[in-house]
Amino acid sequence: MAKMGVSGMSGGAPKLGRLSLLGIGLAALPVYIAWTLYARSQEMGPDAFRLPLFAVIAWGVTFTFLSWRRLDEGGKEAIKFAFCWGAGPGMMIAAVTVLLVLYYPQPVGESVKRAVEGYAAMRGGALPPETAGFFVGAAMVIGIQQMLFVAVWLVWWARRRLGPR
Amino acid sequence: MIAEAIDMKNRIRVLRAEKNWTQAELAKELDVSRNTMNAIENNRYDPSLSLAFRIAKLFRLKMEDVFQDED
Repeated sequence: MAKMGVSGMSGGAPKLGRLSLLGIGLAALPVYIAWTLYARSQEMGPDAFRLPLFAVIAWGVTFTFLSWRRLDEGGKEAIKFAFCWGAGPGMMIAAVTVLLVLYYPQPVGESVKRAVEGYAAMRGGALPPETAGFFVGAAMVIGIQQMLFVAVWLVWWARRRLGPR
Repeated sequence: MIAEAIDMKNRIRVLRAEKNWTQAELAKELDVSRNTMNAIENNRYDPSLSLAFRIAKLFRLKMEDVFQDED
């Protein structure tokens, strides 16, 4: 729409922002796999686990930074709202949920504990059960937090697509 | 003192129709997503002051000719 011609306003940025966000998820996996294969081929011991993790974190931080810069103000508003009302409360709800699951009603807690021990054994003792338990707990907290973040983010956009107020 | 929040409404949909522009074209020119443009048009999202000025400038109008107090 060149006929309008307001200087300094070129389009296309929001699409790039969404692609960057997608890139965090899609690109993290090959980075993790590539680093793991490389580290194992070098027989790097515990670093075979740590290095891929650092690579994925660095990748995620970079893409998050780029995505944030490319998002428009509506997109940023939605993310801020989702962090405040989704990720924040989600972390607290998740932390309490994990503690309840692990320590309170034993049928559930025991099954989670057995799953963690099974996972640790499957890794051939590479991870002590305590370490595996810590990572499973952390993953559960992050997972629940992320689910609530996405749910609130979707609600924010859904409310703004309902038509005239 | 004006303590209550002010409900804003805007004439973007009408102005856009007069110019025969699509929502996507307008969004592209303003460097925002079509979702954001749609939310603004439907009065479900109040744009920042900066974006509001850019919208007014695009239609070659004053800000108050595009955005008004709903009361």
